[in-house]
Amino acid sequence: MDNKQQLDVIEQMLTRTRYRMYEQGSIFYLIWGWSVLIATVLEYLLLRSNEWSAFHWMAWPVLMPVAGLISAYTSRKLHNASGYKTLIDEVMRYSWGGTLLGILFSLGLSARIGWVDSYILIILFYALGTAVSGLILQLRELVFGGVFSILLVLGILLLQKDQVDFEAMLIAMAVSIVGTYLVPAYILRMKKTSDV
Amino acid sequence: MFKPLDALLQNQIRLQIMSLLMGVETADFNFLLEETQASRGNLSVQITKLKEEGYIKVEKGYKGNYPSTHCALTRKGRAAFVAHFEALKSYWEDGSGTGA
Repeated sequence: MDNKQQLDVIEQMLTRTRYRMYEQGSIFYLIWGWSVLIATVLEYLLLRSNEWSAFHWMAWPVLMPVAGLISAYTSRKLHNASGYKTLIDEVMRYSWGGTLLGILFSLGLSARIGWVDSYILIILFYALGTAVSGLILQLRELVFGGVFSILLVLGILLLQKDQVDFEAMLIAMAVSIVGTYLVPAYILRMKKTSDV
Repeated sequence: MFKPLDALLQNQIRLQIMSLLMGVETADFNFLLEETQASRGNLSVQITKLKEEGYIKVEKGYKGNYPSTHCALTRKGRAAFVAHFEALKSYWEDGSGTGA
């Protein structure tokens, strides 16, 4: 092998490792992105309906555990099939464990601070989790996705409190999840097929 | 002044193994087999050569009920790979990248 061929081999192998990262990373963003988006839209529609508005929260306790189970199953399947272990996997697990605790903490605070502020904190936590993941994995799509929602939260905080009611907050969350989870995940999947 | 190339890493399969291990903490034999597209026998021989040189460490274990072999770069192997890569780059940047 000449020097150029050797450099090509190194590049090709490193690209293959990145390909696996794209695959593993994007699937979880799709699972949670779609689950949260569907739950948010359903809550908004139920809230605006006359008959079902009292049950506007119903989608969350159904969809979130389902998304959790699908994630756990997918994670186990990917782990068994991957045949390799990285320190990044470990760091990501702790990083998202911390994010999940933050989200649960925000949900617990909702009785004290109200749902609007609770949702602001939830968006902030998953936006930070996504931006940090992007920095760890060196995937700028995720960094931009996280920054998008952080800016959205800053925009909401600049508004007067009475300008942001719960329905407006649901719309903000739907926009945020599309920008932070779904758009970066689909871009990564497109890159996955074009890079290799 | 060109940096010397590592003769051990000029073999395609060995270079593939080292490059793959640079991106992960450990990798099992089947992962390396799939990614390098080498035959079982050839991969096994190249892994042994890298192990004998102290570039990688090899651990035998079980995955479920099946035996599995896990490989990881050693500190010496990582340093050797980086030095080899830097040497390749220096040849390439100099414009004489076709030299073997």
